[in-house]
Amino acid sequence: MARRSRHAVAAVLAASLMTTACAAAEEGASTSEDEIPIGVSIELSGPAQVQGEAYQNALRLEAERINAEGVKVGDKTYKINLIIRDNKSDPTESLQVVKSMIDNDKVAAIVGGGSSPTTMSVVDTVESRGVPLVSMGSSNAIVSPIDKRQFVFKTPANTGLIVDTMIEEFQRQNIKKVALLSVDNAYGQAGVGAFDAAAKAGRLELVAKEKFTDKDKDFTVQVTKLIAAKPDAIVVWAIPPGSTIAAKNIKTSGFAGKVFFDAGAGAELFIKGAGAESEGMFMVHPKILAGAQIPGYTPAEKVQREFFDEYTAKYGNFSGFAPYAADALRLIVAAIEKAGSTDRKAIRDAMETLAYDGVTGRYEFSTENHGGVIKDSLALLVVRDGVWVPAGS
Amino acid sequence: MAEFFQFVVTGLATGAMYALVGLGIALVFQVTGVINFAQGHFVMLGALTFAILAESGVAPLPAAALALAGTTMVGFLLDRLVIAPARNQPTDRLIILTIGASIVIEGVTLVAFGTQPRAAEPFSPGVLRIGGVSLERQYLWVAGAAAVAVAAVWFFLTRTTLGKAMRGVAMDREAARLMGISPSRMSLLVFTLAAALAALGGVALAPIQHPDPGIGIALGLKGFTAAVIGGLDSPAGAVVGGLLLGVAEAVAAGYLPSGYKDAVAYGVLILLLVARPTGLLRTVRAVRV
Repeated sequence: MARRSRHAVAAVLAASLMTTACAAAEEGASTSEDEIPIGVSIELSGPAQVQGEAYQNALRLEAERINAEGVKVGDKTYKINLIIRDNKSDPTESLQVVKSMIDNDKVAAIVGGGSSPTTMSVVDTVESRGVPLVSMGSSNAIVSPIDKRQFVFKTPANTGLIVDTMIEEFQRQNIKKVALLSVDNAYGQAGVGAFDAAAKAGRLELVAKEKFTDKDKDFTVQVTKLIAAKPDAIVVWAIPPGSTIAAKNIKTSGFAGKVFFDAGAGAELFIKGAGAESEGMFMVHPKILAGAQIPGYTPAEKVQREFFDEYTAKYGNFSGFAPYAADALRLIVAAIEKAGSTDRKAIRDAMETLAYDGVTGRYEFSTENHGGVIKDSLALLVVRDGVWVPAGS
Repeated sequence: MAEFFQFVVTGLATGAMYALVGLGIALVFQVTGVINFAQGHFVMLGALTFAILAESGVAPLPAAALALAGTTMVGFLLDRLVIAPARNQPTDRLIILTIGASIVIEGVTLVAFGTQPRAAEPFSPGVLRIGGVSLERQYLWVAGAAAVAVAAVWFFLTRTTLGKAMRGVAMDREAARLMGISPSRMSLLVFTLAAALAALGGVALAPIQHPDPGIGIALGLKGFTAAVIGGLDSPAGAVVGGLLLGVAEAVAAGYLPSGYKDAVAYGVLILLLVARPTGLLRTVRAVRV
């Protein structure tokens, strides 16, 4: 009797496993004739999930808008089929996700990964398989050296441009000594590299550098070491929740100097999490984050304004990460329409010639440049009364 | 020198949390011989429930009470649904069951509440400054929670009949059974108690740590290290171990490149397990962690 009931349990288990397997297979194969499959590898869980959630929101919003109009390829109108997969903020997982999307889902192009570490692990694969990929990671290494990144593009501004914008402000505020606090991964490394280069070129004095891991929850020790070097300003290269913790720890330490963040520090959660502690802190970010202040006169401004309003209406708070994903998808669709083909190579070739006004800002891709919005799209923002506003306004 | 004191204070503050988790692990181990790897997840549950309730506008006291009750319930269920049915299995299997349970708890929490970190307001906002040393006031609550937990556990184990019965089970299961003490009831009690202690710490920690479902593992491992430092079967030792671990981490991060922080913590763990395994290898048969 006991044995029989065990068999029954095994049978039920097997049956339920099979149904799950079928369901999984179905999801992947659901692309029909008039749909273009586009793969998405984003951080729906793990340390970078704050980004992933915003990306997913933005992509759903964009896909809806794009499919309402349809994508015109030659004389046919297609819809896009987004295949969204969670890479768990893990470089290895991201590679598995991307490989599976290329082999099983036969995607025409890929959006993702949503961060530098989850992108760096897949660039060689998409390059050798010839699949165009638009990343939301910001590290320069994603798109250079260009001869090994023929199929790889990204939406965030190049690290160097962000550092340039910061240095301009340092000069305005007479800040000479800078200390750097960065997350210990490919994204943080890009920031460290850019600052090392700037220090070498004599554009600033880098008095201290400290790192933390993306699982750390308190950086008091690192902050104490930075302040001991007596910097005029501390620069933080991190995404939430790391950026939030950094803001709190720096404020708690009683540091009297200025605090600057990279665009990765993000938006609403940063302000919500750090609360009053983030008041007066600076961030270099695409202008769109100060959405309510975008006038919406020029066509480019109108695009930003519309996205900001739609996103806010649908999801409540705006996220500084949303525009990167929205643009990644927009760029792919624009490239498909320009190429008049859904062939992977044709999409890549068209993408490289795009000059495009996206939500994040303006893109001017070329055979030399696959990376991100141009410098004019960036602005220095400051937290005032709990919201990001343009500095100097 | 001010920096050194800052490192020590920061270390004690984070160490208080490790101590609280370690206390729970040592308590469960003492009574049942099981290392409960879900202890960190209890902290996560307490912190997350509290932060979510606080975010949705529930007043701190009822939110804390609900978080405490909910987490305690999970501890109760963990014993009844997972540990009790496998009571006659070897201890190592029970330990693996707690690991499985911790994964289930994390997974269910992820699905139920999403991956977003939650933020609760500190009970007493602001910063405490003494000399060149500063500390978020909220950490005093964490330290307070740890102190209350230690005192309560001490009182319970040494001054109440139930606590004495519990220690009896820890000393000799068979003899305790002959005295009319039910080891299975004691197991239920200790898991429930451990969950309640963890939730207490979680509530105090929530405003500092911005809890998300993923914070349990790291807390559990640090707490385990704390318990091992303390000899694993001594709740008081676990508290000392937790504080030591926190300070060692902070001071190491302060004078070495800060990337070595975790390496120090887990290095200590490995060293202890290899060099001074008393408490672990002697009382438990064939456990490799």
